[in-house]
Amino acid sequence: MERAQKKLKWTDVVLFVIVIFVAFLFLYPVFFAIMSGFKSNGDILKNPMALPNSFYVQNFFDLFHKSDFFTAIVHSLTLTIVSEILIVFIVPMSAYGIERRPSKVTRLIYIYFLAGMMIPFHLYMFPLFKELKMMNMFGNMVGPVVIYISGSIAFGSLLYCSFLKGIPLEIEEAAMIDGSSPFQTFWLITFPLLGPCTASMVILNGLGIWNDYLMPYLVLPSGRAKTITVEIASFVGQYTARWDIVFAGTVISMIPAMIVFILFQKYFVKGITAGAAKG
Amino acid sequence: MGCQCYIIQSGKRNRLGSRVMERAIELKRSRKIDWVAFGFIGPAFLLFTMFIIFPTIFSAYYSFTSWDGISPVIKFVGMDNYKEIFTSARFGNALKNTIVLTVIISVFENLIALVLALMVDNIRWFKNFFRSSFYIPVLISGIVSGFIWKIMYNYNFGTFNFLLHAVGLDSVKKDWLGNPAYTLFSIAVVLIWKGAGYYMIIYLASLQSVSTDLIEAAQIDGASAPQRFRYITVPMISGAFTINFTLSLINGLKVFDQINVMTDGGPGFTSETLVYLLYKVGFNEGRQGFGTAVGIMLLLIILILNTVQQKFLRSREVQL
Amino acid sequence: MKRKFLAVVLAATTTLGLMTGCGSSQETASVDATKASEETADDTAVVAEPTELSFIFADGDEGAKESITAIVDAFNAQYDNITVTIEPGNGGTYSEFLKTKDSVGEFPDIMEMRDTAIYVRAGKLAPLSDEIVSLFTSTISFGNQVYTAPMNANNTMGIVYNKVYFDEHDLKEPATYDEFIDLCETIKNLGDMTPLVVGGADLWHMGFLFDKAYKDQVMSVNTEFIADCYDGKDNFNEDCFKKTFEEMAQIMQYAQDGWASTADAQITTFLVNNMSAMIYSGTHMFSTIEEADPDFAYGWFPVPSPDGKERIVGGGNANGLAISAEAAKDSNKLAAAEAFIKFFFRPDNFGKYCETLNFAPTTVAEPEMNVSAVYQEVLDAVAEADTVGPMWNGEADTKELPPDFRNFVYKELVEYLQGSVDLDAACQEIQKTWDVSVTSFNPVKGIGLEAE
Repeated sequence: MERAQKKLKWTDVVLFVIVIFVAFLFLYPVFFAIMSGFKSNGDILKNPMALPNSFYVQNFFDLFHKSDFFTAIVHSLTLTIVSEILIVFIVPMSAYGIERRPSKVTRLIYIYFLAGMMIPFHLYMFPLFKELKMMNMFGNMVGPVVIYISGSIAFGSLLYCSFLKGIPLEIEEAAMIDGSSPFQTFWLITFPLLGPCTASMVILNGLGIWNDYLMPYLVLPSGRAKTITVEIASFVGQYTARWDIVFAGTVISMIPAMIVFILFQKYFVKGITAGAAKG
Repeated sequence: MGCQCYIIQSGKRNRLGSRVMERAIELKRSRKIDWVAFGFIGPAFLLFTMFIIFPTIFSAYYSFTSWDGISPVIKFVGMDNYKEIFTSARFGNALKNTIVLTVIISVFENLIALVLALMVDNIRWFKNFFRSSFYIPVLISGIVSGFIWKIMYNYNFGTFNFLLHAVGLDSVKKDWLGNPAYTLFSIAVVLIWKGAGYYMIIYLASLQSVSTDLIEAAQIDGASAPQRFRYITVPMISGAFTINFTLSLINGLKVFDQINVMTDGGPGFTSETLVYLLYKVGFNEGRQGFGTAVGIMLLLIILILNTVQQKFLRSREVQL
Repeated sequence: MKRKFLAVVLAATTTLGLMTGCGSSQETASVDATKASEETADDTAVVAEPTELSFIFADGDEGAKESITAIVDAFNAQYDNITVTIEPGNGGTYSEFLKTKDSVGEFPDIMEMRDTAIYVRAGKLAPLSDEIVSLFTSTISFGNQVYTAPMNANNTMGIVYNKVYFDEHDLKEPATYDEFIDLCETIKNLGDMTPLVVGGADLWHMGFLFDKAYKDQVMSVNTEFIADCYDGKDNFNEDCFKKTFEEMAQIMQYAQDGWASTADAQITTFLVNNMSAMIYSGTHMFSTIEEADPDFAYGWFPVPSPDGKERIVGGGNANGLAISAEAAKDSNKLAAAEAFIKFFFRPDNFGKYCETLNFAPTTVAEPEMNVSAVYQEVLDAVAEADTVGPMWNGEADTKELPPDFRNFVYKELVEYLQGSVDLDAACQEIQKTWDVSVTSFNPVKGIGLEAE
């Protein structure tokens, strides 16, 4: 609002031109993927860089015809949504405990979490699967959800702890004095202030879950569709690949991610932290 | 008042530390268990320990065996795998690649992300459009981004060499993924392209929490643009910087999908990183024991690096 | 074309399934129904009680899932008491998939086996009966036992060339190795196309050409080279092995710029766009070429060895259908699994499978297949070759390579071809790695085979 009142400066124009150029660089490969989703496999092989010569949508039909892509979409959505809800329930609480009740123990837990963030999945994959199997979590949707939650704890704690540092204690203290319990204080007072942080975490983590390949491929029950990314990858074989279907699937998988991003983006912009603290 | 107070005092939060903190300190002194803290952290701690730490410890055991990944007989070989690591040129090369790639990525990804965030924050028109543009590459899965760039990098019909040819620079045409001198660089470009938008959002979120009132107040007081950047913006984004730097470091160390799709560690073993080596040796070449040992070495390296980096960044944050 | 064909296969198998289903319930006099009811009568003899079998196979290559599913459906329809349930894995990560299944105790009853040696050593597989083994022209055995029923013959390598270009310039398929080199030289001198395209980005593809050179130089003098190396009687500093590298270098000077980053999946692009006259790859290229440009005219020839013999990659390999050791303990499951394998390789079923996937059949009973003229040439070449065998890294027993050795050789090869190491240094490095590897794996001396 304030900016609208400002005068137009030449720097604005220069910046605009530069940003257009940079945006082009960032978008070109994406454009390339979308374009390939509308070309036949032969066309992709023959003229990889050329534009599609007609509005070719057979790939999308093939995708749904040759795989149970609808089930895959349902699976991907379920996994992402359920995991995210549980993550948003568990992770900010743990960060709050670490940040607001500091002691040697919580400091150690923080370091313990950070250390865990660095363990490559390939390192502990098989023992993890055995463990899941023993707990009846292998071959169903519970396993992946549990893995996603555990996998988000380290990153989430880092993010939330850092944001919590920026949230003044006065508001919480006032609530505590009014007799609210620590848990009430957290959920009713602090958690709403963490909005932007929750938004970033949901977007960043959700994307990781949405695009994950190896783990759901190995853990989800076989013999039927698994997740979007797994179904897409199933069109690349040892000797032959249906790139047309792969890119068509990519286009479809980008749409929900894009929608969620655009929705949450507004949330970022509002600058909840600043607003709430001001009030 | 809260907001401005916070911004100015962000480095010295002791003043803010009050009753909540005092209670915690009391607790510590009295050596009682802080059950409330336990209630907050408990679920996360439990899940994390059970599904990440336990399997890792089990895995660590395999690093002392010559297990092939299938056989029911697991032969204990003591430190043999680790001894082999220290004499293996392949491991040395993967270590070098991991370090080079991680340094390039964590420096440039942050630099570019910050520049993007500043640009988007200051652009006059279509702010949302540009923010989304830079973020879109993040939406594409690692595997597919590898497919796309592999085609674009192709020596004979890829975009880059086509453009170079078009402007008459045939002499600079390179085999981007086939010449060991350029492969790491080419992979880094893809990772930066895919990752910068992610870090940009975090920078942007903290840039936008800088109150415009404060900036205008500073402006009225006669602070120049660089001064405003140094004294208002930089302290404000230092938290985001810590997060981003840590994340890009870890993501750099864990790069997998793009290498898998674009070079498969090649030509030869030249573009293998430690994670890739762990995967390739363990899963493709039937040496689970050795692969796990590589993974454990990687873990140790990451832990050391991260401790150093945390110390460094923390002291910087306080200075700011 | 292919899609249409697939539809026919599906229709045919479904009809077969329906007919046999009907045959068992209705007493019709038609010939088909009689035959079908006879087969259903067999069924009761196969298993004593209803039996379920889990079946895991790789997927991803065009048509693989559809054709295998069709066979399984037909089988389930015909055998009332046996139910086969399928679990397809993705082609690219199939080995992780099977390992995961194994580690969580869900190892299947029947599976497409790719890392045969390792699973055989772990005791996970049951040897196949002589009756099944006798169905195939050639199989790979481990300690005199055969564990896998080869689903396809080894991918036969050769040159696929641009027919129009060859005709235009009056170029002929070479009859000797020297003629082949002359041909490359001629195309190079013509200057309008790269003579040869090689996909060096995928190690397995690089292996195609390496295997050719290896057969030419090493197999021509000593077919037991690897076994002798295990025994210490031979080593990788020997002339024959060095000549393998030299032959590679000779051929690779005609390869396109950027070969080191070209993937197998990209090489058709060169051919159909008239950027190259020839590609060296397996028969899986045919369908890709037809897809990229249905009108593209191509021909095929194998490259002879310098000594004039034709050494062709083909025949059964160690990959194929296997029965788990666990399932074999249950007599019902074993009988059902054997029935399934026999059913799978019945000429009608197997022929359709091979046809869909462009595979050469492996069975003694030759299935009738509708194959293109070019593909028939490949089949004929295999039939007429002096030797037909697996790739150098596909051998078993005393010629099985140590786990990561193949990749290491290819790595040295690429470095040698790119000029970063010289021949002697490369071979010395290979020998050094070999010496380290054989301390933990040496089938000739029985090291590393403990779990057998």
